[in-house]
Amino acid sequence: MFYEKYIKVLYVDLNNEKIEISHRHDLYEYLGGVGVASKLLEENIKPDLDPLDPAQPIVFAIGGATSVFPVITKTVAMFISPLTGELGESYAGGRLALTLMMAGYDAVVITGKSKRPSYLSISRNNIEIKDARAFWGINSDEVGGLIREREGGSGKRSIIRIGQAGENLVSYASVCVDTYRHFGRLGLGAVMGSKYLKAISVIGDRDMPVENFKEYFKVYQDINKKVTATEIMAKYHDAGTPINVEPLNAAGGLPTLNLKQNSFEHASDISGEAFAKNNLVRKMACTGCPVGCIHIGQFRREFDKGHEYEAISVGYDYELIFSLGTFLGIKTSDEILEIIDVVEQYGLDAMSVGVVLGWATEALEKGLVSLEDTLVPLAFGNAQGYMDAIKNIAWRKNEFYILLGQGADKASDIYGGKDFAMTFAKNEMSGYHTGYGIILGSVVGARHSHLCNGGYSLDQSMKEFDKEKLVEDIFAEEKERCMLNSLVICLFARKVYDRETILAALNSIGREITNEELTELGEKIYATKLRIKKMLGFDQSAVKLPKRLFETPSLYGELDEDTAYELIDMYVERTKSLA
Amino acid sequence: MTIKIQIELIGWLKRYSPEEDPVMIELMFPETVDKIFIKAGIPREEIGIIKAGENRLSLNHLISEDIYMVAYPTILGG
Repeated sequence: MFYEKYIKVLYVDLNNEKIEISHRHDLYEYLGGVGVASKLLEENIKPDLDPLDPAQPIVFAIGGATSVFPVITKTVAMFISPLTGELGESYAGGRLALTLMMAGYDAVVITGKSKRPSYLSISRNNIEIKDARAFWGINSDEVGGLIREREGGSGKRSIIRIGQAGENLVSYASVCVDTYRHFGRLGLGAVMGSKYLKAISVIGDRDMPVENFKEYFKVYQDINKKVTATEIMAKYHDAGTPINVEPLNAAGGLPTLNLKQNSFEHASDISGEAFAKNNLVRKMACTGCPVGCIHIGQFRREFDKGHEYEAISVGYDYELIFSLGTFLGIKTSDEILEIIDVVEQYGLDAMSVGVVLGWATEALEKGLVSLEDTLVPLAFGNAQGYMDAIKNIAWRKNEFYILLGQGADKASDIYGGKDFAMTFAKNEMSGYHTGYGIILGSVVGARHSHLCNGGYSLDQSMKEFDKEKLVEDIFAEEKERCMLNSLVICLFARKVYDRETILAALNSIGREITNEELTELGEKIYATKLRIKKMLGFDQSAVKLPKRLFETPSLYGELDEDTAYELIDMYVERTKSLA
Repeated sequence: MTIKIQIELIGWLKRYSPEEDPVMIELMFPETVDKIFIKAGIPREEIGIIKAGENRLSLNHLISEDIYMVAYPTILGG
């Protein structure tokens, strides 16, 4: 917490219903966010146990300037991923960061398993583990409303919860945060499910007086001006990330039909412009953000005979249009929204489930699995089939769906089709087939996400392909993002928060820190993550890439498999300097 | 001697030339792609990739004959 020279950690032991609060002066140097969370994870993990063993921890952390400057809105969650078996790291916006700060906690560590389904209620002066037996089996949208009614209270409130997929331990189950935000990737929902933890409610109501208001407000206004009065963030508010559909499609970098293609003939019907024209009804923002990048689209659903319709609102962005749209050959924005709604209700990572279904569709086409396995006729473009399949995954309907619920890598271990199981180190791919940058970045990224180091972005900005430069740029970006994520700045705003701005912001709220210390911090955090990954048995050199990456031309052109592996080896050498 | 440059703008970049698509420029050759985009009034930081046919062009590529280029905006994301 700013002004205080310690990190206030709330420890919750669900086994013994024991609560502890610790003021950790030793963690102060990590600023907060992923710096603090990775240290707490390292302290609490049990490398020899399964990721879903009750003894494994979940760590949440906010940053040292959370919510007091624009766009510093996120909370980081760290855990052992049941999908990859190694480092799990996920970020969510909404109101959670603000409420944790106003409840007075910098970090929360949850271990153990409740005796019965429960939810955790956190407020400034009271922590309770409450009975949630009546909520078990209820979808994530509905349970949010029920807990809101039960908890009451005043102040800022955030409710995070899991759906049936989390309860049933699907390896890529997500956690819904305040309806439209998520800890989406790597299966935090399953980890909560393994602890019988249906939800967490946080209410914050304390005042946060600023000591040197004049200086703080000047810095605040400067940042706010950059965010609202320049072009830097305008695109995120306008059509949002869905505007990526059109350029990626035209340039041949849009993963389509399980990456059998790099462009989609129906892209113009599901582009950002098409969504804006046909479905967009509202834009929302995380608390503390003036941008409003959350795009809410609406579709009509017939709920009874006699022309009885209801209007359903769901959030959408580029990654969802890719994974549940182009990747599955879905041709209309209405159908994509309808699939997103099912994914939301059951609580799954939209990216993983789309990519998993892409593999399953092709496996059925090729006869690796049969209709007896899939139960529904999975076929590219068949939205109803995919919605049925998503429910089957969440309910673990049969052996096939149990395996699909463990990811495309696991399913292809059993049924074959590894060459078109589009994963990087067991995590399903993101929506960018842009070149070597995204491949290298996804393999070596601490959590195997495009968000670790923005490899897709380097593919665009690189003037000429240069192996050494690509490795160096990804290494530098990975470390820099560790520093940014210790403050838990929304990465959309990474161009707003250059070093000068970060230093001005921190100094104005009493945190004296130098540019060199920020650099050291990024390196230290990255080294911690690499230690954790090694502890959990991850070996970057052993990662195998699906052949499909090299069969379908990327935005960069055709890619060479040997070059990709060479880049990985070069990166592994480069990280040795951190050991 | 002058050369004719045509630039097709994709997506978000269209806002920089709402009236003219593709953007037409005539200039003395040779000139770099970078300078051509400056002349067209399109901010460099907004440009993702530039293609001429199947070829990707870098900003310092020299253009010395008539050309049709396609400019894609930077990809958004975290």
